[in-house]
Amino acid sequence: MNRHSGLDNAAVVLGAASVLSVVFAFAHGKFEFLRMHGGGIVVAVVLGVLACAAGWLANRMLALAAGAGFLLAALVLLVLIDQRGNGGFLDGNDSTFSLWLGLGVGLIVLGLTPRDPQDSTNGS
Amino acid sequence: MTPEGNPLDSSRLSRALIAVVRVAAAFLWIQNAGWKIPPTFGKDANPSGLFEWASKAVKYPVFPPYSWLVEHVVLPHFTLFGWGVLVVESSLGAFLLIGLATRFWALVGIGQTLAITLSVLNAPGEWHWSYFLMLMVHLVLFAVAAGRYGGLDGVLRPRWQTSQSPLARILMRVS
Repeated sequence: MNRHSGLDNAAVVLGAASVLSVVFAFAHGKFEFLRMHGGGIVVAVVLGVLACAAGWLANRMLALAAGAGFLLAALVLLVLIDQRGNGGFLDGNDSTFSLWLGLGVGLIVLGLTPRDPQDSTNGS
Repeated sequence: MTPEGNPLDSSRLSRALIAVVRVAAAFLWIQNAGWKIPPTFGKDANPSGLFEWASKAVKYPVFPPYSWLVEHVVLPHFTLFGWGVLVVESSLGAFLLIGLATRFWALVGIGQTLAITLSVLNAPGEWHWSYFLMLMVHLVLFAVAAGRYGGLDGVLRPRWQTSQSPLARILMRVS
């Protein structure tokens, strides 16, 4: 039985990517592709789990909420960097902003896309 | 060519590798967005960061008209230029990572790579193949429509295809 649509699976992948991005907290030098420390870890885990739940439960509103959360976090981070020269309590950088921008846009697009009846046997 | 003859149709490994290349290109931009720091972008008493790199277009010219443009238009209005670079490169990382409108963003990546190349190709210590390879990677992402493999383009294109909305038609073209 195919419980989830491709859209729901994509939300799970984006959420998992966010949770996995916490690995950069342990990266240094050339392999620190983005800065992930402090409050940024909380954002990545909480919103990542929310996105996974959205996909798992085939719930578009949860996907929209997670996407909006990522975009809000990205915006706050950018304002902090502009005003303070660092990520403040979110402790990220412009690379973190880029990641959250992508996850936010992706989840919002997934949340706004209507499901077709043939997508899933249980609908959503 | 039959479907069996096209590796991207018949091989999951080939599709996965295209996704890997797309995500790697995304991280190239994501990581390098990190040192474009507002609000000055390095235009300080001791020039650094993006301002220092942009200045190399003037100090080590590659294409004189481009050097003139940087010297007389870009550097005097550097805050605006810095924000533009940050928005473009952050968006390149974001959209290539999720594979949305990938062919459009591959074209943007080609344009941004050309701008970087014209700025620093002749600077001391630069390996010219770095920039040629950057260009080639984005050409490949465009050529194979990389977002259709493990990206949102692949998930969403069937819906855009059946939609009558102008936005869906645009997204079909740029994915």
